[in-house]
Amino acid sequence: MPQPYEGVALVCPVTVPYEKRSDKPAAWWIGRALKALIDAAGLEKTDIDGFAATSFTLSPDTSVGLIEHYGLTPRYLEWIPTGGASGVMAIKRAARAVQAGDADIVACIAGDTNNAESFQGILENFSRFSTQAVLPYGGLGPNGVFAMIMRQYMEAFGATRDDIGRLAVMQRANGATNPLALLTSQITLDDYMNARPIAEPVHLLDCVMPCAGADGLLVISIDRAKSLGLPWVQIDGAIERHNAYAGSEQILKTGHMMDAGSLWEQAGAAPSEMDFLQTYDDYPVISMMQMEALGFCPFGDAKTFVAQTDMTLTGMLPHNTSGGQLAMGQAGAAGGYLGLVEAMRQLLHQPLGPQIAGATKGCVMGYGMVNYDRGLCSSAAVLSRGGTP
Amino acid sequence: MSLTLQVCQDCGALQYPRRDVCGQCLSPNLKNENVSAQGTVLSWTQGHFSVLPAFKDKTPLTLVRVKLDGGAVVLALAKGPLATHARVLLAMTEGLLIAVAT
Repeated sequence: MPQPYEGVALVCPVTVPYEKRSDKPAAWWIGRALKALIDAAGLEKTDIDGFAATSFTLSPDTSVGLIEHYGLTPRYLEWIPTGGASGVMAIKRAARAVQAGDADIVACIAGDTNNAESFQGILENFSRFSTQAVLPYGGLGPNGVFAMIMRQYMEAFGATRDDIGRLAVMQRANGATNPLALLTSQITLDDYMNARPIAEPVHLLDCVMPCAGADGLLVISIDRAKSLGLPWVQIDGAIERHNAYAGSEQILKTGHMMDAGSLWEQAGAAPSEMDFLQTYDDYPVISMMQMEALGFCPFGDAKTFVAQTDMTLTGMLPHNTSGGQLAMGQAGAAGGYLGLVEAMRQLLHQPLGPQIAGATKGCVMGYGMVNYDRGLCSSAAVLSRGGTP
Repeated sequence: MSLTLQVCQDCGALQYPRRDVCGQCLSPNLKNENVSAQGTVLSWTQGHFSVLPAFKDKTPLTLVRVKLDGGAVVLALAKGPLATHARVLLAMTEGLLIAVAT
């Protein structure tokens, strides 16, 4: 089992409010998040000695270009180009750097812009395999690949669109309470069923709305959190896995399944003890696959779990409590931080909308990077409410 | 009917998408060979929106995910309606794999 993440504090979740379209580049969005972090923690810019960034629209730059842009001089620098899996991967790495003394204060940020040009750029240059063997096949974008995953899931497990739509309905109900959500209207199962087809069986209300935005947090030591007077969240366990089940035609198991036992053992907890679950929701069926992969329900049976579990803010297992990307929008790679900052807010009892009563422990999951025909990167963490200074 | 795809000359693994080294044994010794063009549909979608100008007026179109008898998984455009488990024949037409029911 990996070493525990003891002594490490996650503090100051920030979100630069999303906008549907932006003429500002990604560096503007990430820079606003950096400033928000410094202000929230009461730090000077020179205190930041670690920096981890994630973005899809920063090309040709990476975190290297950003530190010169912002005048940072870190002694620890990360570039985590893994989109939906990036948030948990960032805190894992930053936590180890803080434990080892390689950095004291690590700013972890994901951000992207969104306009016609940036969106086309992501689609056309996402990966070599995609440019070569996916995009030319009709140019359906991620919807095409996810539609084929969704159909395979439905046919393998006898799940229907209704079964999947219930999750979207509950999530949009959560989103209606979030002042930062771009889509604040609630939807009914009829709305979901009657939405127009995009790449069948994916219909409009399965899809996230692309937008611009940034999310971030700081990783520091618990001692530092106390001296700064900041309440913190701690990492009870964390996993990541990439290219799971390589060479296999199966695409219904996310990589989390390989490491579920390790995660729960390290966290000393079970799925039933979680006060909430934040999955990576670029299509509700992908959230259902994640629930199965970490053992919240049996493999192939998320339809029963979703039908029998109230996943709204007052339910048995509140899920994607900010409304997730389905309600907030998908700010590019920042989608990989959305569940993480929401988990922190609920554990810090600093919610954007309603507070989950008594939340002390929760799970956050990441999934992403359709390099060819499935998401290659999986990550997850169990987080708990730390202390207050 | 055969299809020309990369095959590892050391371990025999079929490569798709094209690689620089074998995805199984990492050998750089890859060559184009004629392989079986037959496969089975694993999943499919009917797409209504394309980001490519060439396809804008060709929707809805059917995209299929096919397991080749030789082992690799390919995405292909379908000619005519296809369902999961259908047996298909693949052909390279103007640089694109096209699947037809057998």
